[in-house]
Amino acid sequence: MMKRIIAIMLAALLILAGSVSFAATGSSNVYQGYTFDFYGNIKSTPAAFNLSMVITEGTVYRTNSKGQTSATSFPFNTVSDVCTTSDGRIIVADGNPETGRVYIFNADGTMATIYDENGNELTGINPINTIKTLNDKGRASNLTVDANGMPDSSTKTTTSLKGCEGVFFHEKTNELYIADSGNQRIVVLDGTTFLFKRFIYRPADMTGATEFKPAKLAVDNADRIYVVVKSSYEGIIELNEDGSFSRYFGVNEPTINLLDFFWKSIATDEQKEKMGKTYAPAFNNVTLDGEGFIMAVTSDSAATKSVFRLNFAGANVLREMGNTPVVGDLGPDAASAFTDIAVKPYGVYAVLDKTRGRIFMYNFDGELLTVFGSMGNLSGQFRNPTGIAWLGDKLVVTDSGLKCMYIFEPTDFGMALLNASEAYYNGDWDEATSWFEEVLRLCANLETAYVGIGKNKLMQEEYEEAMRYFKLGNNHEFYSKAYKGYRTIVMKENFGIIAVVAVVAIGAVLWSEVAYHRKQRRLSK
Amino acid sequence: MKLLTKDKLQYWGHSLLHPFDGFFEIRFRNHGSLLIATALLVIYAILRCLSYQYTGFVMNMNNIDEMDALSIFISTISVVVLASVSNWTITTLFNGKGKLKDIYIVICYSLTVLIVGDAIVTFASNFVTTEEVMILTSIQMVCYAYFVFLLIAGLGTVHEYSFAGNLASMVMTVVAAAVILFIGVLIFTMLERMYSFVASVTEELMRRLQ
Repeated sequence: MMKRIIAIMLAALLILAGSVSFAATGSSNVYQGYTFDFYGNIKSTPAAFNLSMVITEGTVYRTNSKGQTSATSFPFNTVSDVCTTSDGRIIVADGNPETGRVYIFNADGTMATIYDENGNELTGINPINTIKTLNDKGRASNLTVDANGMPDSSTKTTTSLKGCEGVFFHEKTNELYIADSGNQRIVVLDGTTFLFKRFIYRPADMTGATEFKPAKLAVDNADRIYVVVKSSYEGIIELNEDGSFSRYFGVNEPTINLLDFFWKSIATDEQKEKMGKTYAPAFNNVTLDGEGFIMAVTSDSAATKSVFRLNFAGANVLREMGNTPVVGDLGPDAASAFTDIAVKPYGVYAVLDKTRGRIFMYNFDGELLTVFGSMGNLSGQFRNPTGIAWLGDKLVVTDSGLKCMYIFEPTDFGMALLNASEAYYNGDWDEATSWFEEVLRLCANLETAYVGIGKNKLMQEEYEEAMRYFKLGNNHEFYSKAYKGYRTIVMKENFGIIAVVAVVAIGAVLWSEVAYHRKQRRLSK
Repeated sequence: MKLLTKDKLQYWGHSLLHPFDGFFEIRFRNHGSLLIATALLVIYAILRCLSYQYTGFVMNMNNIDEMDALSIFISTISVVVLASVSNWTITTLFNGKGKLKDIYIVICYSLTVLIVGDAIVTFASNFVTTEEVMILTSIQMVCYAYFVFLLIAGLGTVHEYSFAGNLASMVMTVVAAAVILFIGVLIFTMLERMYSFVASVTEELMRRLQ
């Protein structure tokens, strides 16, 4: 009887433990990384990143006139996106459908203090909720708007963020763009004071069926704004600098199913109407890479590709030179669903997968570097990962299921991978080789590293060594290039022997002909 | 009785270059040799294993770590045996004159072309670059085409079929092979179930008797 009671209590404890959303806040969590080889087999690698910080709320400390300090904390609701600035701040969009907040953190995880242009502290701005502007006294005060939502100082209506799902910090103009989905607008704030600059509403000349509900956005070097609307099959909305509509951009190609095609070809019009339509897959997220190309991801199962690098014409120019395609996990029932992408200036990109909570790292050539991360309730694991961004060499990842933000710092292996990729991108071959050698010292399974060293050997015309490395890295194309060089050298060195053998062979054939005919003639006489 | 005579070796070569005449002689004047045919089949199966491993790296997309020579060998042989048996089952029903022995000999003699082609490609692939792979694949294609020609000519001759009848019988052969495979799998599954049934009954009895 006692045993049974204990068992029931244990079961209840287990069930309760399962419902606790966030248990531990451990300081580090060692991940098991892996990568894929040429044949699609999983090869383990060491962890490339370690958890260094978990942030679940923003705490604002305020000192009043008597010198007393009070702390107010703003816990995360639904953390939906994250971006970073070049001076090391982390900006988090917390978009619950009712309200919305944007937090500005310092790199150490504390809430940033906001100063105006004269260096005076502005209070009540961070986290951003109600849009503020400067009043006559030089203090931050609420912005008032008219019935159309445009700024108007004569009214008393204030306006706040509502369900903001995306943030983008535009370094060139020092502006923060917030996708204020609940209010169907884009809010542009100053990048230093975070005071109001302008609103962008649905452009009057916008065509198409897409509702203007910005979810994610990016701004390029020509200040054009790229807006992703959830489940829009018309592509990414491109807006001009002034907020007017430019075009739909980068329409995604759906896969065509042969069986569907057959049924549709024999169906009547009425039947066709009842069948589901095949829409172009919708994009999930956009960002810009170091060269100004738009990088976008989709998790739509109907899409033929899941990671895009779009040129100005909207064509996908993603490099896929690796041994495996850029699709995340391989295998028939392993399809990864990418929610966000973060790109380093030297082209290394990390994509965040929400089906298995994985982070995939590829270099600019599309070669897989490493994979880590998992689903779960432990600190460092994911439940519903939403956004990813690079903070220097660290990775910042938000999770709306666990309502937290993780900061990951690279391990020695991760650093070696990043340094090797940077040197490789910049063409510093010798430096890249030494970093790749370091990578291989830590993990002998990574084909990308063998190929990297092989390419350097190929440049230096050490063909035999290059062939050895390309074989280890399973790169058939470059092996062939190295072999071509090697073969030419062997042929040159042994030209004498080859020439003699060839002459002897030709001579023998000719001689046998001559001898045969002589014999025939003799016989016929 | 001598198993292998010079005459039979000569007709092996003759049937490759003059298939209609050669296979006629083999069928109706007993110039074929089961020994040569089986030797060719074994050589071909061994060559499949060799080409899996020793095709040059530029052309070789196989994972050598996962190579299973025995399964390559057995599957090659069983395909030929299955093709012979299913062709024989079909042609006996449709007035084919060929015996199982003749069909087997035709298929195995035709394999000679594939042996030559595979040997050349496997050897030469170690000395080519990606751009030259096309030359080797075209050699391979020519060999396959000639193999199919030999097969059609040989089977047509031994069965005394018209061209259309011959093609129809070959299509039916594929169907028959599928049926044989299906029945084979069925029997294996049934045997497995019977075995597990008997095994569990025995175990039950043993436990009760204890």
